[in-house]
Amino acid sequence: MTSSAPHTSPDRTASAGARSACQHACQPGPGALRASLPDGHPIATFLDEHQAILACLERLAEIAAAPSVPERRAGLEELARLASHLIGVEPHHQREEQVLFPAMQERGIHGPPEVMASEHVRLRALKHALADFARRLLAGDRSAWHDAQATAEALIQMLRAHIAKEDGVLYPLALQAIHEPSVWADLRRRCDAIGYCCRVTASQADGHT
Amino acid sequence: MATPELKFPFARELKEQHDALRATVRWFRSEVEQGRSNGSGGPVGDAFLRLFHEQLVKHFRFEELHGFEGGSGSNDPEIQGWTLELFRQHHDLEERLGALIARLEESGSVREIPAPLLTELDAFFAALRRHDAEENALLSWISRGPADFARDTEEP
Repeated sequence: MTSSAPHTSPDRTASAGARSACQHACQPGPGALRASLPDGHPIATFLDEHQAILACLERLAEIAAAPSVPERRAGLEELARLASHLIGVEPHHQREEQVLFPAMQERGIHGPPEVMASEHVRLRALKHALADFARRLLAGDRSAWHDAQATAEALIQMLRAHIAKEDGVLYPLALQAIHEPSVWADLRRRCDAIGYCCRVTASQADGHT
Repeated sequence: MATPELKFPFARELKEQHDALRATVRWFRSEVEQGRSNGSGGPVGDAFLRLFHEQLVKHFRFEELHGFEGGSGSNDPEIQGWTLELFRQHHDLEERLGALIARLEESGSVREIPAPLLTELDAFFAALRRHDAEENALLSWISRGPADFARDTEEP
């Protein structure tokens, strides 16, 4: 997701995150949380990627609900692309599992990161199952439609709920727990090393584009 | 749902049960959809639903008894946790369907399901399909072994 905001250094990102940390838990939703964070902040990037993933799920839901055979056939290639794209958000999960969750656990927050990591595993299995069914459909196996549809529905519901929990609980908790600007700057560098997805890059997030 | 090829002795029976239940669910959903457009439940009456409930409960107990391809006793805590979550869903689903059947009987209209109950029945079948899709994904994972998901990257 491209931002037109001016350049934001990791230090500025971190200090802004720390300044507003106490406010986040009281804010009503991810939109308000995102607005309180500067571009390039690790949590801002997670939130931006979630918006892109939700848009992808919306389109997936439309394709899975196609009522007629011609409409289903027309959506097959896009179904396969969406499944592939959802598998490809792996850097998002990796940044959470390797960078954000350990930082929260070091501060005594164990439950929510463990639950989210566990959900990642289930989401991965569903995404790969959907990709398998999409491949079978593209190869001409029409019997895979109901399987693909059910898998898409399960994935959409689980992933939307997962994003709601991260946006509404996990990220505000992280912002409350991690106060030090230097820590956020370090987390940002480690996130950069893993990479981004959904067309969101560190330089874009910082307004470098 | 095409159940993945499995390695354990009860796999064939599990696959047959899944195939039968999935075919029935598809038929039910089609009847429910037709009933909604006609304003009646059509042939999806309480007798069919009671029979389906009975078979569904037997199927759930079968999966639980056999440990779901070793999932409930897996050394992998993620597999074990997901399996136990699916077992919890079994109880929620069977109770939900039981309550719907009881309400249908209370309504006194056992052959033609009232519209509000049809909507709830449709939602139940959708939930059952999602549960089935989760089971399928878990079985694929158990039968294929863990994938190196960290290698997955976004396609250009």
